[in-house]
Amino acid sequence: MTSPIEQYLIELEARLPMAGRRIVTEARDHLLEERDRLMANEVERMEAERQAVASYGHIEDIVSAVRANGGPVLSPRVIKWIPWVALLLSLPTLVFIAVNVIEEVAGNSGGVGVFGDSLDHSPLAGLIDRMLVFGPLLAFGLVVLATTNVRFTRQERGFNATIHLRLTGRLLVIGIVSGLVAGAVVAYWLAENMLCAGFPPCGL
Amino acid sequence: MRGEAIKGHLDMLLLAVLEDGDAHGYAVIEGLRETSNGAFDLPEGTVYPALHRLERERYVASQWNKSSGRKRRVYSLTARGRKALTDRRSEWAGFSRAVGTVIGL
Repeated sequence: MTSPIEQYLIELEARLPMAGRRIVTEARDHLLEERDRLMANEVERMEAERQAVASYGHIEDIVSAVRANGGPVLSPRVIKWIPWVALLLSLPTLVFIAVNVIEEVAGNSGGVGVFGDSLDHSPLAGLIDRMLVFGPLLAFGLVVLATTNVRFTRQERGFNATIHLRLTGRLLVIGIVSGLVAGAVVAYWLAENMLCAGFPPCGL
Repeated sequence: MRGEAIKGHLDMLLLAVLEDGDAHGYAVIEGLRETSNGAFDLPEGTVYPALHRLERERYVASQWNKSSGRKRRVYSLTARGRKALTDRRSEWAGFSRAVGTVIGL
């Protein structure tokens, strides 16, 4: 026979599949603590579980509270990693630009480059080209997504999307850098390929 | 006091409880109940989504802690949360003064 607490947690998890395990884990911790407190006051185990579940609230109340408080599109843990992922996506392009600038300054314009021409014959060449162009764009998109922190709350009719700015220094710096790099690369790419027809334009 | 009446002030109350020190959800709810002498009667489970929202808004931070064999999320007030609490206390003081004047307290 399933205990009242276990039954409650099963129902809660079934009603909130998108809320993740955290709500259920915290509910379990809370209910067990309340059960232990009641049992310490000589309440019988099953009765203690029933009382704990009753004071925790109806499943409907919890579901409403979760919806009213909005679920983030991205969890805080994911948002914490975004600056680093964005940096990683922008880094190859930053290195590429830096190498080209150094070569230009050194008067080696049009030279073989830091990798020589070995990459041109590599099966990875196309992938690297795409990474150089789209990496900073993707990074910028990720930073915008993390910064704006869109949340959906359930209204009487449909859903309401709200945008909450959560700007940290790290996100700001990486957002500006990836935005500038993405802009520069896309402008360069368009300028170089503007006479080509079709999509994607020649070169990619 | 019913949950509906508390809803608009729940953020301030939760931040105020956490001002006394880090606590897991159960302790936060106990703190709320004790300091209000049981006046705040709201389903305990509805406090967690509010704590999660406060965390998303960076008013509180949290981390998992395993004590006495049980996995717990421990919440703490951030500097931003402390500032928000100060602001809300000030708003509340002004609001309650104004209401008190009108109703003749």
